[in-house]
Amino acid sequence: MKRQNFGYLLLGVALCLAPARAMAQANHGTPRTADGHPDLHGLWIARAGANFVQSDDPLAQNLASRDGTLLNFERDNAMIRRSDPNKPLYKPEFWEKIQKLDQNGNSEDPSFGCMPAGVPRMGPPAKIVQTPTELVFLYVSGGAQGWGDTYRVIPTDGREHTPLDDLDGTWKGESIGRWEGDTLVIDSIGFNDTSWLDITGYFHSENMHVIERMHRDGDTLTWQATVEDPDVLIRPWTMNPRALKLNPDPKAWLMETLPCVEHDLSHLVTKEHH
Amino acid sequence: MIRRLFCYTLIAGVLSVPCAHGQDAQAVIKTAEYALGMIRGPQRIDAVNTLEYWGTGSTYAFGQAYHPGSAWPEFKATYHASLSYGVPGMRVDVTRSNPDGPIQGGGGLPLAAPQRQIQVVSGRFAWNEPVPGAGFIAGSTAVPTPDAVNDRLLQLWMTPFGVLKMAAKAGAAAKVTTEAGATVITFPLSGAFEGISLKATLNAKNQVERVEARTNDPVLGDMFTETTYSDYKDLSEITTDVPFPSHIVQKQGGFPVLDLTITKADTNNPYVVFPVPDNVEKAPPSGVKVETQKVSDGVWYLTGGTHHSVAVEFKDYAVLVECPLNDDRALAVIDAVKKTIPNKPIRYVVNTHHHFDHLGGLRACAAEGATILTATGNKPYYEELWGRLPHTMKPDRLAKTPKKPVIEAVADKRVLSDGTQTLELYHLQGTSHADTMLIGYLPKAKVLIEADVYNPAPPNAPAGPVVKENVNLYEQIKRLNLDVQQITPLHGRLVTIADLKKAIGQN
Repeated sequence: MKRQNFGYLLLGVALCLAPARAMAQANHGTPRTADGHPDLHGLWIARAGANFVQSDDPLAQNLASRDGTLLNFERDNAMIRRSDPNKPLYKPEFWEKIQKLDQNGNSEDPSFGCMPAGVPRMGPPAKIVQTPTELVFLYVSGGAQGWGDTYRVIPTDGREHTPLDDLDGTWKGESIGRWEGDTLVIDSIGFNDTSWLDITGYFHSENMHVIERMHRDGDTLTWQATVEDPDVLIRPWTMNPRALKLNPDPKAWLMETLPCVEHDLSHLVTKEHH
Repeated sequence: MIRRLFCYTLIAGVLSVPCAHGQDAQAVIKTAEYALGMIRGPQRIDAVNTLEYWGTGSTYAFGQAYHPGSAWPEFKATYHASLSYGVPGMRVDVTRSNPDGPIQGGGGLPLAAPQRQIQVVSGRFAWNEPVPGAGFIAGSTAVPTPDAVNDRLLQLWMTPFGVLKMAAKAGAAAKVTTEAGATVITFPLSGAFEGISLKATLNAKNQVERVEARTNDPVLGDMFTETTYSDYKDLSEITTDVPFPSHIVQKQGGFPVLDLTITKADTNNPYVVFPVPDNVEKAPPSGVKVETQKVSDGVWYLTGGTHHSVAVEFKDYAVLVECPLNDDRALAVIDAVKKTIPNKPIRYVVNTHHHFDHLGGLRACAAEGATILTATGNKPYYEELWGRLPHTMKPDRLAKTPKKPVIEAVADKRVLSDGTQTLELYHLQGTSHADTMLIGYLPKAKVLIEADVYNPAPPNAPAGPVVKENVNLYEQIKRLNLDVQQITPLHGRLVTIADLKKAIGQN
């Protein structure tokens, strides 16, 4: 622990020599850019969401699964992922469809076929590059974030959305950023209807509208997305917030993800999946 | 663990022996949660938040037996239940029928066609649906049922998974004993269920095999509900290692209300949601309302709810026909009679039959000091019920003011008359609804009073199929040579004899 603190201290000293954004960080507050907005620049390490419940069970100290089998590890993860009570409220005519998509996720989930996760399933970025007029989000694949490293370029220059009818539906849509106080609000439209919102069969329509909110508090970046899709949802759905920590290592870098090549689907004999 | 097992072994066979203190009780609960596959992952968290299961079997109409004291009438049923524990919710979708032909008793029998009933509860709201998701589907409307919230939520917490979740939540209040060698977990519920305790009995595999509760019922008092769960299997299409009982039997008042063979259970946390329709959320809390409508000189129709009554004025006293539902309804009706017929005691109360919805307020009327007139077959049944069954969970008027009810049996006919008014009571023959059915006839006003054998539809409703009970009523009116002009049904609306004739196709 002492060594870790010493590391942070060294990092702080080093950053003090840098431009204004680092000055605030050295004061343990939220650093700001020259134009006064919170500075989101940096490499952010995602960690588990608020619903992750720690157990005091000694067995939780390691990743032992029931009976020590990989099958049970996967099976339990499948249960836990689906136990989140925060569910989008679909119109009744889609309830059965959601169940079928989830139960047949091995063949239906686009991510299983190496397709992109899309917004908002791709979640918060791993790295942010910030300029006065745009933000660049860099993503590396994680298990639930689809496959393939990707990026988003989000203008914050006050422009308006392209009319929806003029947009070709895409995985990431068209994103426009703006600042509401110290919160970055990213408004996205123009999606395809292929991506899912989560692994549990949560599909959406081409008329989906996603509002992401990002707020930095010290070295913690909180991301949360709200999905509006009146074609299929009874009411907007706000996903669970995700908190990310700033990586203090100045040498940290984004690891390249191996290309996704689908080999497994034809070998699956059950519908079990994570 | 070994010490705990030793403890259980040592006391096996001894009834109700306390074994574990609060902390150990939680360990027993945790063991049961593991046995049901609830505790998952390296985090060892309870991951069963939603469930869905399907089955076939029988449902029974509680309190609607043909003979007083006999088993509740049976319907064949297909059954589909969706449950959520995180946000407490439950949707029970039952299609019931009587494919083997006419059955005697109430509860909707006989069914002309299979009947779908969908009952939902979500948090503090309850409603019925014509189709799942009614209120969010164009042309469909949910029907608020605010009085059903607690009963439906209690069913949720009496499921094997629900009872363990609540037991864990009870903390130190949960106690473990052994009864006949079986481990038993007992704990009190709180909040809206204050005063109710649940008792879960585990089988040799630590699975919940029986859940028991006592709740208040207007007729049965501290009513015992017992649900047994047996033959656990992983019934999911996708293997989950969550065993689910493939046989569920629930009894209330000593007779089955549910007997299901479960054929499929999705315990992989299916997509189960219970959005609350706007009209349900804005529905006013149910209250007791009595509306008084004069039918003729000395005759008033007391409506305002689902079950009606009739007040009849005599020279020195009043007669009330029917004290339905429960204390609240009966007391409101009594109050309405006193306002409508002031300064005259309610000397007699007529009880049309023994079905619980028509019997539930009778204790309040007995506490009022009225003499109860009911069919001969009911007298020993009521005396036995009221003498044997305590009403301690929610003491009613009779429990608070103990008084020996005076019950007079009506065989084929009884006439109340004082020269100014006459009320004739007849045992209704030929009905399959209840064998203790009385009808009333007021010769002066030419008014018939009946319950359940003719429930007139709204005025503009399309004509339905001819109902055998309606035909029988008309035949009995003719047999008894009653000159009926108006009918005051205890469900529905004031009608004329022409309406009854029209309903049976005799225009």
